[in-house]
Amino acid sequence: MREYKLLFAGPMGAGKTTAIAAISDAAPVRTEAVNSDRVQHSKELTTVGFDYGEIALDGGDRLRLYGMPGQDRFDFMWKVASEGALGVVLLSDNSRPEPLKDLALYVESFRAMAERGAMVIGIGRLGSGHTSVESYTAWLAGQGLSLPVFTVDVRRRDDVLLLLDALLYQIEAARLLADTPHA
Amino acid sequence: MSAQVPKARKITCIGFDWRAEVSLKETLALLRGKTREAWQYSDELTADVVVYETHNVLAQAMVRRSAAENTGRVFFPSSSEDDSVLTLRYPFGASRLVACLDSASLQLQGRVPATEQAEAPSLCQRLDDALRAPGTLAVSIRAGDQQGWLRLPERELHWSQPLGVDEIAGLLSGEVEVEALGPTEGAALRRLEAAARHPAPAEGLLWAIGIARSKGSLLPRLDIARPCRLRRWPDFGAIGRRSLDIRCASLLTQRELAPSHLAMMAGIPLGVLGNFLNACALVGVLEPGKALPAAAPAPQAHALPQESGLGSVLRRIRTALAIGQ
Repeated sequence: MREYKLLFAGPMGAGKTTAIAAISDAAPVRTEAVNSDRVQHSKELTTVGFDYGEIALDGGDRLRLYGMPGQDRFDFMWKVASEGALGVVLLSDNSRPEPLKDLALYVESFRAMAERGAMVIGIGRLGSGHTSVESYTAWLAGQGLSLPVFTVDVRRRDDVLLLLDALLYQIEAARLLADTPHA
Repeated sequence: MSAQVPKARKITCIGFDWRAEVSLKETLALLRGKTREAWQYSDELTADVVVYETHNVLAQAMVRRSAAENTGRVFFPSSSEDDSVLTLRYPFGASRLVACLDSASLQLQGRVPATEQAEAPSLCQRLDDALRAPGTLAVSIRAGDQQGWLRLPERELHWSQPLGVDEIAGLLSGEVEVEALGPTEGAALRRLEAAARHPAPAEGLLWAIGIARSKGSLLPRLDIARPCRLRRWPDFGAIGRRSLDIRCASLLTQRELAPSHLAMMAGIPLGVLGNFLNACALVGVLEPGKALPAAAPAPQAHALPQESGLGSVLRRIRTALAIGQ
């Protein structure tokens, strides 16, 4: 049996646990504890280890879904988890004070995946903030990146599937283009 | 002299999920030689026959539009309160499908296949022409007694009453007048500002017009041999998604490609790809590439590579999640 992994990253409260729960075959394993960082987010519980879900693939293989802990003091775990990952879904909470600053932190942390196109960005709570979708894409363009950016509500399974659909096509397109000479 | 082989009629379905599309393709293959005429499945919305989910908004708009334009296209709804109407519901039964196709053949008799019909410029083309006319400050859009306008360069849409994108798209399924307004039409602009004050999302509407009102033709300003690229992704979270659009967007944001080359790589007919490119052009995310058309390599029939190990993993993930099939 072979195992593959996809990552879900983003600040505390962006919906990583919810997104994994929306698509995992079984209820995800959650490693939550009482949130001691009420400055970052007001929710009572937060993820302190990995959230973990999985999807069974044909042939007995498994796709493991890892939700990265949102607080940046756990960034050493992000790097470990990145090794061998197919790609990463970045979730942004647009109601936070500086969502583009959050984005910068996570894009930098998963830079290798961003540069090979294996990253997709889902913006939650768009209407609760003042940062437009265009601001996200403009920021990415300034970094030399052209990644899928969608407004989503991760409580809706279809929105999570949109993110994964785009991520899989990004990975596939990169592979296809690598085999194709430039015009 | 060899006898001319008649062209196959085309059939498509709208508003069902992907399983219905697969089922229709497979059933058509099984029915080869059992119908009055040859039939093939098409992704093109301009197909001769359209099977549609009765409650789907886009399908309803197409039916109304087709009736208004007298295109002669044949529609089969998934359900009807009128027992005399032939319906076609998923899962598609073989005998029912044969009955519908033979009925459609009779209705279509003497009409040339949809793709050969000479047609007036599409709404997509008229709107694109208006948006790009030199000196345009705004584009006035009138559908029936409803009025809207697009302010340039921001492409902000304002409408005469508060409506969502789906409702406006429904309005625009019928006859639509489009007019470019420049600096000399100051009075007309002021009247529009006063009459149509309600903001509405423009990207979703422009996208819908590109996909549904292109008549299967690439905008004349887009050249199938000239490389182009997307400067950013359309927001599929807001405008709705089709997997083939996401596949094309992935390729065109990562590399500039000529439409003919893209069609080969994505395995999508040019007629279908044209709607996607038109939608991207209307939304304003399509830009010409830097490479000269002559430098583009000719597309090869074997452009789709054999499935690699990674390709197999991606396909199995899609199967497990039932996406993008």
